[in-house]
Amino acid sequence: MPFVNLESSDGDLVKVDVDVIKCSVTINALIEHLGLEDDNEVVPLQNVGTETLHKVLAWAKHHKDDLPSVDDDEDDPPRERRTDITTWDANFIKMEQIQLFDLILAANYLDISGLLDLGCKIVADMIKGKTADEIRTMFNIVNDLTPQEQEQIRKENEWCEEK
Amino acid sequence: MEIYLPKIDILRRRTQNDGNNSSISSLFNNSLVLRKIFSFLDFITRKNIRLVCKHWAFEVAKQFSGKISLSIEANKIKNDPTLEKLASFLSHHNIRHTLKLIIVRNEGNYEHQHKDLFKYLEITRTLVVELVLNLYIGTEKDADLLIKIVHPLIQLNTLCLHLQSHEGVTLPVINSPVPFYSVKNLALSVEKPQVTVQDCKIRFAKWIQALFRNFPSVTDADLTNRVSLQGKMIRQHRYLQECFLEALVTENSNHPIKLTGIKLDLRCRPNSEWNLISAIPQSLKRIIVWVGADLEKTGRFLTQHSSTLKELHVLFVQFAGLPPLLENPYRLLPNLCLPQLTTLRFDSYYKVDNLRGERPGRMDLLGLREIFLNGSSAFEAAFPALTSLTIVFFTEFSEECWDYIFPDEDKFGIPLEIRQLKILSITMATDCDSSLIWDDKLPEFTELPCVRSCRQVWQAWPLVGCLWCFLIGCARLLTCCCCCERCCNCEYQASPVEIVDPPIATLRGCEHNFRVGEKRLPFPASDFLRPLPCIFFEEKQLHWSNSYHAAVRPIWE
Repeated sequence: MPFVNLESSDGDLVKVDVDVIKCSVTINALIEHLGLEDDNEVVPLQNVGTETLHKVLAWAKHHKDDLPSVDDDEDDPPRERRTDITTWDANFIKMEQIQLFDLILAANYLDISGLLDLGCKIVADMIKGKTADEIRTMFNIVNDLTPQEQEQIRKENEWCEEK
Repeated sequence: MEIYLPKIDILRRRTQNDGNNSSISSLFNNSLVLRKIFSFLDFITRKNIRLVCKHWAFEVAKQFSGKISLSIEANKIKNDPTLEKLASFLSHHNIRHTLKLIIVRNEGNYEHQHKDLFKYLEITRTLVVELVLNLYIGTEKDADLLIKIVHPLIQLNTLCLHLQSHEGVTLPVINSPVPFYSVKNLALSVEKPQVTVQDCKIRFAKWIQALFRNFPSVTDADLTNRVSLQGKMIRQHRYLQECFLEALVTENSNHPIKLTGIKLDLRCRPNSEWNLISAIPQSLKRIIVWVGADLEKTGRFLTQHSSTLKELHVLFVQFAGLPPLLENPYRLLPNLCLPQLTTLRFDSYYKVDNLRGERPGRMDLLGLREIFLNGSSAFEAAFPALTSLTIVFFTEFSEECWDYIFPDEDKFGIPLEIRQLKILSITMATDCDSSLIWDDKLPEFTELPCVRSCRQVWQAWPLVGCLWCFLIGCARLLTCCCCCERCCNCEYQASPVEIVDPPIATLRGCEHNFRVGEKRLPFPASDFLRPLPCIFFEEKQLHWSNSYHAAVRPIWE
């Protein structure tokens, strides 16, 4: 089965090469476990809009020949992640904030770790160097911490050092 | 009736804003995504963003587990509710952590004096996985205090004991009613004035043997008795390692110890100590050794454990005053066959004037070129399981060094192809200018076709650290690493510091490599090298007394 039909949440059908979308664990699992053997079968993606789906596919197409990532420290505890971004990815990810967030959510839903990492790195970069106030303003987050709780967090932070 | 209809562009804007808010809400309510985002942030940023909202505070706190340490000076926390609140915070989020505890000598009832501390330990009893304890120990009561501190910590995995006692005081034997089976890693350090080896043995023999009896499950021991502060070694007792070894060997003859990993300083050791080193009965799996001019003896020690050795970390150190290591033609690797070795790390560290221009052969103190020249088959026969190779030069060197160490052909002119090496970490840059890394000077390592992860590690002298990990654009390299902030330009540009000895914590992870003074360079810990699973003292744990600075006495002096 070289192709699979993906249906976006907007109801649009997008025909895609299975090789391209194999990076999605979710779609791979659907294809394997639901026995989608016919080219006319449709995989509904209720959480991914058409525009976002096209972006996901553009990323997947570019990275379809990538070899699976290697974790050489599997026994180690989780650590801070690397922050390298290739030039192509950097150009690809230049988009409006809303599109970026939709893309991250889609990558998460479709379980595409490379794309999820890329989006999360960008958001992390947006956060870096900003105060809590600035972050709240940027992402329209309501501050639900009382002054006492903030003071307590400050004290906790003072005690905790990186190992 | 007139109906107000906003203009289209306003409608669009509203729709977009609504969508934006919806996406933001969906994104930040998704804990998995939020944690992923936070995972790309450095520790300081993570602490700061705990002040954004309750949800972020909660999610970040969950990520602290296993990654934080707390320093407590027990004598300064009397009747302070902060400690209890802190314990509640750690307990609430189930945060496993390292506790660095400093207890200075104090007369009186310690149970009363340290009741806040004991309360903390009771609340966090399952969460303290590593304890770095600096304790004055001179009486039976002090020994009891040590037991009382360690006793509640049922998940304690690593114990770094730094003990102080006055000259003439024999350390009281620690006798716990129940052995501490959870402790796997043990590091010992004792602050003592200069005494003779005989004095030392008399005073410590029983104590150290008892210590091993109290911690019967120890698998990794750091016996180097090294204490450093901010990269500066402040204390090293000439004879204590020998005493530790003697106690270890003696105790093992009575009660076999499960030791599988050890860290030793093999520089300038007396013959009596070499005898003890060769008497270590267990076949070790992990060895970290500081190596001096006694390369042949070191080779014999490694040969003794060659059949079981899985991880080997060799540190060559050359200082003025030490026998000249560079002049010794003996090389370790060509004389070894290590069938189980998977990880080899070699740190080369000089405190001599500029080595630039030295012949590359003088940098290859491990003898890597020789084993490569013997050919692929010979390499595979000698090190069939070796997959990870790390070479760190702490000194300026010329780029040709790598061409020398990794020849394209063996000595018969046959192209080399070492397929078993998967992870290669080496020093590439010679100064802080990243252009030196990104130009055409990257070696291709065609002789290592299966390397899937290549990392750049570097530390410039004097401890102005810089880490670049790079992507080599070959398809065979599957993973790549980051290009960190450029240290030349960053605010953390460090002023030179006097280093007496390489920091012990070099072995633990990169954040310590790049620590200068109190400033932490913005490099994530993950991008340095995987440390061997032994335990080490960290320089930052030691800030008890400035008077120790005056006591700097390198072992060779």
